[in-house]
Amino acid sequence: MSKAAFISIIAIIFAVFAISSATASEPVTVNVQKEQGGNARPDLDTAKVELTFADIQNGTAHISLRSPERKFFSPTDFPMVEGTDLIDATLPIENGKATFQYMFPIRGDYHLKAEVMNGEGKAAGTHKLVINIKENPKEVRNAFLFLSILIAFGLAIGYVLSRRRKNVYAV
Amino acid sequence: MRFRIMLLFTILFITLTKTVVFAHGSNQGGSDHHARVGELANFEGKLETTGEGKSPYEVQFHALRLEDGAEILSIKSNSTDGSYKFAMQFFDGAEHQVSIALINPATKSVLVEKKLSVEVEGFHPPFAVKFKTLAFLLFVIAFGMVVGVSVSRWGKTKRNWKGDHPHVA
Repeated sequence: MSKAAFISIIAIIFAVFAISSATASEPVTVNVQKEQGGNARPDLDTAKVELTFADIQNGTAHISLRSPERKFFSPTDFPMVEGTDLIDATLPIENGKATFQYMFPIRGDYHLKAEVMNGEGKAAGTHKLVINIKENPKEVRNAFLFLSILIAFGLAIGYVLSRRRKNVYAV
Repeated sequence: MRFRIMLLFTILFITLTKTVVFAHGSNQGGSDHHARVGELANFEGKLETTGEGKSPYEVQFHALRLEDGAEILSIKSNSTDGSYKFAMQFFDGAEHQVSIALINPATKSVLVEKKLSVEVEGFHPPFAVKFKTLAFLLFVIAFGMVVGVSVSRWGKTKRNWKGDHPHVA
């Protein structure tokens, strides 16, 4: 394949991606913030969850929120809650927005399913969204501190108990 | 032999401790609603409209954790006759208060309000999670010990090279 053909193929692929990302628009987007702005911490901040609908101005959305699935490593603060259903309710959509306040229990990726109905009560699509809640930074810092204290403790014990011992033959 | 006894005690301790945990200050009985951590709690019913305002009414649902007054969920739905249906999971095994209010959409004033106290049954984490966490923390200490022992043996090796014979086993 000639060099020119190769470069032109790459350019076309790049252009296709650039154009498609510019024109693609999400039918539903979700925004999760603390009341004062900023990331909501699990089990501490009541977050304001705002769903914005591009196609519907007035209607209802039946939402169902599911907690992050259990991971093999790194269990969370409430292991019983991992992988369970959290909310199942119907919200009104006013001016293309639906909001509610919720305190997320654990960190991770929450799955939100929204079944939308327009003003006349006709089904207008089902949308799946992902909400990511980051762990409380203080908890992460405390976890590292705790682990370093444990390592230091192990270090001290390992060193002290294996130092040279006198009068070994007396044992 | 002793290691096997310690291992047996550890496994017994983890498995036989009561699975249900109660929050501080909880006295059994005397609450309207019971819920369990890990399951959806359903709130379904109808608030009687007093004749004020006209439909569609707004039904506001609030769930509050009484331990620290934190708002867990605050959600509303529109209803033509005051009927409501909400389901949420209480993730904390403490006492909660749920209030369901019928609101006049024009004036935003509360027409009827119903308050329920919900006692949530909490559970210990599953055995697999407890075991994994315990094993991980013990591994961290063991890692520190290995490093400590190798530091001390490095010191012994250096002393042996220097010609010092400390008569250590």
